[in-house]
Amino acid sequence: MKTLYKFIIKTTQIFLIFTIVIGCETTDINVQDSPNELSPTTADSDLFINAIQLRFTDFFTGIEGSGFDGMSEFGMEAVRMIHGFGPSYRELNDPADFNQLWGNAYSGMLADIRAMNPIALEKGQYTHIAIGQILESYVMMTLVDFFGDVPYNEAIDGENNFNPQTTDSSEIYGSIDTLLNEAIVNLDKDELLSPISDLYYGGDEEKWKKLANTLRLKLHLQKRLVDQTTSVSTINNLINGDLILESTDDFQFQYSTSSSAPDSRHPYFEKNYGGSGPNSDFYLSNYYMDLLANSYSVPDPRTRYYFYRQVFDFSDASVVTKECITQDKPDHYGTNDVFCTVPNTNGLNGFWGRDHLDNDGIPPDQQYRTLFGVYPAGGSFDDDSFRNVSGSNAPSEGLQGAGISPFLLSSYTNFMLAEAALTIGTNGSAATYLENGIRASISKTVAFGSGLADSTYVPTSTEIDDYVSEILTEYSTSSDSDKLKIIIEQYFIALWGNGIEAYNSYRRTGQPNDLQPSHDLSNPGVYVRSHWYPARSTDNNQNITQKVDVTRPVFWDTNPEGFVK
Amino acid sequence: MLKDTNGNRVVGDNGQYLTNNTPTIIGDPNPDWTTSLIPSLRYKNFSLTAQLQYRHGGDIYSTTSGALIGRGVVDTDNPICRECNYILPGVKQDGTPNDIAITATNVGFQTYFGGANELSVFDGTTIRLQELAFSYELPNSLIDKTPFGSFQLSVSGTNLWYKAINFHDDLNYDTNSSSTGVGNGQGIDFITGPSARRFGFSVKATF
Repeated sequence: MKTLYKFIIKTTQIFLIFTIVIGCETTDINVQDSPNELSPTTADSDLFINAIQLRFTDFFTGIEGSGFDGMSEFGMEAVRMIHGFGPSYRELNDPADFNQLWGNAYSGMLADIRAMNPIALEKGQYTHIAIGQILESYVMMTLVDFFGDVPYNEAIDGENNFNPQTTDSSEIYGSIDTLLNEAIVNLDKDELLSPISDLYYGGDEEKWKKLANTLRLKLHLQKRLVDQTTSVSTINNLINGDLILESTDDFQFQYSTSSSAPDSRHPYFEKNYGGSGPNSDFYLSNYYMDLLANSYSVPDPRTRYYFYRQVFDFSDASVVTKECITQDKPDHYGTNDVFCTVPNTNGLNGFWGRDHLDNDGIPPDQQYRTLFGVYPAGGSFDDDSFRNVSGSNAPSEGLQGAGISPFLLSSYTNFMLAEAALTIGTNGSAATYLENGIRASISKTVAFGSGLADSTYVPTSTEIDDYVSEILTEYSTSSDSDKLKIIIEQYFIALWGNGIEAYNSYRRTGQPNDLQPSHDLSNPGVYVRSHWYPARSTDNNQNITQKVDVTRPVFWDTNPEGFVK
Repeated sequence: MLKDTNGNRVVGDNGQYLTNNTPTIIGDPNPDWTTSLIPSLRYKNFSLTAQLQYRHGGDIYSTTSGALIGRGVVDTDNPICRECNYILPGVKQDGTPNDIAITATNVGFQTYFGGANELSVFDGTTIRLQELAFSYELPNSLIDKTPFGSFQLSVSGTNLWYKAINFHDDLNYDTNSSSTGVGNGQGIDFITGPSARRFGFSVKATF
């Protein structure tokens, strides 16, 4: 027994010595990547492209039902394309509103792009890299446009830096320009493998190149107030190159009608046609509907495609369903400003929306509110049927949510060129660009809803010609500032569904200068020249301090104080 | 809540408080101290034991209180004037004293319920009768001839009474309610359900 005991002691000692002396050298205790999960090195660059493109779409339009509103919506609220709650500009949006898109942009998209690049480079997939660069430049440009200085140079460094410093916004713009040029170089290279699934352009490199060029146009037009000389020369060079000028080159995302697994319908469709009536926070703007319906002698040909009216007049408006109906127009509203209801000037009535920054609670008006129409949300065409869009039939209305996210369309390019030609004298005639822009937008909208539109209400080519010529006649007889107003107004109309360009154009040009005043207060405070930093960024990053207010302009906005309101 | 350099609350042009979007500390959920008293009384075969608790301080961000006060449903004893106009104490953005009148709805719903979180922070001082038990042990003379060594009957109650003295009187708010469940969260209540009061009856016998 004693021998056995000794034997056990000895073996244990030997074993222990071996473990201590040798074991540490052979056993790697620094395993940080879970062997059960995919690591970035084993990832597939095509799946990366897929995730990046979907996140890009979410960044722009948001995801319904998860408190994730896209950038476009915040832009549209500020310029009265849709209604935003107030009562003042500092209360228009809360810092927490931007949390989701902030995380989506940085820890989602940009992190994916950074992780994809070495894999794609190794396989010689230069198109993958170029797509990542182009989308990154759009997202960073938009973050700068909305927030000002944001983390970029120090961002996405993983565990090395949890508190990245912000980068100066003009420096970010410079890096983006370089990035876009690099993307064009990468597109020109011969790649070994093309992307298997490209949700935007089906892997067509020429289209991507046009997009990169058009984004450079957007960037340099944006910078025209701070660096006009470079803007003029760059834009003139770009005009000679390939830009997005045909609707087949439109940069957009096409949603489907699939309602589950995954739900890939347009988020605005679900907000309007979910079955229980429109979402409480989703109102169309009286200003914008009036702009389309009553600006000229006939309603804009796109009106019935953009909005769906549930009622044909305001006979149901009472103090319960529409409180402002009993109120007088406030003194701070001008004679031409629309208040409470959109007037029936051109034979279209019942546009039930809200005034700018109206902070009232939500009345029982779901069955009266005007909804998003067929373009771009994939809803219903307004054929004077005035259906109450709620209940189980609502999700099968119209295109059933097969809408688009219009990132950058051929009409936008024309309006940008028109503004550049008029303001900084780049090549080409502003009037021609304006006409091309309007026509491109109208034909895209009409084609988009052609499957649904009742032939009685489809605008004929004569009607479209008359409408366009009325605008152009007014344009030709206007002063320069009014010309700019007409260009931006028409740009606003073409931008339905894209609040990013509208918000930027408004701050850059100050046009249209007759946007609707605020509903509750005669002075809603200084306009949102840039938005609050997302709460997520100020809570977690020591190097970002929340702004004192929303009045600080971004670097390209050198317009005087009180320029926009 | 937005404050000026002198610490005054700032109202917007509509006469209601503006919120401060920079994260600030609005309360400390840790009580200053807690204590409990466990008296035990015995008389012949009867005994009475209790546990009295006292919690001093510790802030609670209570949306239950904010929502109920804001909706005006807990002021039956002393209702506020619903038709009156009110002026919130504070200064306007230009620094002059606030002189903008607002309605009772604005005070309740927009200020208490929908306004700054700071207004829903309450001091959590609480007196509580956590437990009370009354028991009776059968005298030995009665159980001598039975197989039992002892026989005791008792009635007890848990969480019988509490009073959070700095909360609204009609609210009967229990400061033990928490919305974060089991975890590190403390002092946060997002309309948590009320706590339960429990009664028990027990028979204890030895052989």
